[in-house]
Amino acid sequence: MKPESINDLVLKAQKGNHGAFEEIVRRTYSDTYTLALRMLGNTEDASDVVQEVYLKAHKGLKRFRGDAKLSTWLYRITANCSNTYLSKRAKHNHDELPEDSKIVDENLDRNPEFRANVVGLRNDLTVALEALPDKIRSVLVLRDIYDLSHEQIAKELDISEAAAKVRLHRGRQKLREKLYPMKSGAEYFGEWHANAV
Amino acid sequence: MQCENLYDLMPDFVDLSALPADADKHVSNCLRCQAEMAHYRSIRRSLSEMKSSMVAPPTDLLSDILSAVRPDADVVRIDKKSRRRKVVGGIAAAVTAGAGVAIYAAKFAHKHKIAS
Repeated sequence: MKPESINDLVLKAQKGNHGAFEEIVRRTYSDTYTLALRMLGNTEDASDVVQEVYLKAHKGLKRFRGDAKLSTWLYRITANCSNTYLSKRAKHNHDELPEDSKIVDENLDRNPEFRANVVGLRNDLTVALEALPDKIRSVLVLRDIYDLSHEQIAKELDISEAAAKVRLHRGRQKLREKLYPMKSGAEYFGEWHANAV
Repeated sequence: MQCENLYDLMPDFVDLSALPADADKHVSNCLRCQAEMAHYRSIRRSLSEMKSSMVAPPTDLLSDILSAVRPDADVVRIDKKSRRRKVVGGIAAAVTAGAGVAIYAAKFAHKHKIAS
């Protein structure tokens, strides 16, 4: 039997079918948790935030009109809840060290050498992302991983669009500095020559 | 246009499908700027690909969420939070007690050493 589409589940859940909402949770919670973890850098905080996200989604589902994808709507709620959590955490000055997390990769059907390079860079990226200040990491994650617009990011993080752009700019610069420490012109040329031949 | 002027603009250029004409003219003749752009694009691409990589959630998260969205959810959530607080409180108390014993033992040993 063909599984029900997420849109059908949303319609049912909006009419009060709790089973349909539970199915939505089952299908989306890993993705929501991953975003929360990337924004917060801490498994326990991410779990707390994910619960908040689904409580808000449950209460607000009737207002979801389906203009955007459900995943984008959940990303925005997650961004908002994570931001509130980060603000509280900053007040209590209670940052914890990031924990190692198991990465589940869904795209394994590629060239192994290419995959090794990509996975290597991705692991370095994960570490570099976790080292960024919370405010910068949030914007970078929402824009460059989850593809939210500057306008959406500004709204959910309660900042101006200009601030979102500045944080994104700084975040990209910081990642570049971490992942490719500055090289001399000669090294650049050597690298280019090696790639060209 | 100089490399230094371009470096500061490059983080924003990765969103563009084509560089502005003056920047494009410089980059096409400058190996350093080409390498720099390649670094930013590589990071941008890898970040974008991370969307499909999910982190495995804790095993009890799903049941916690489902409990939280049920009508009696508040009770369940408070119970879980207070249980966690109790565990953390217990650990803190044990650490404090351990530290107290260690300080007392150190003082006792010091006194004993002076006396002898």
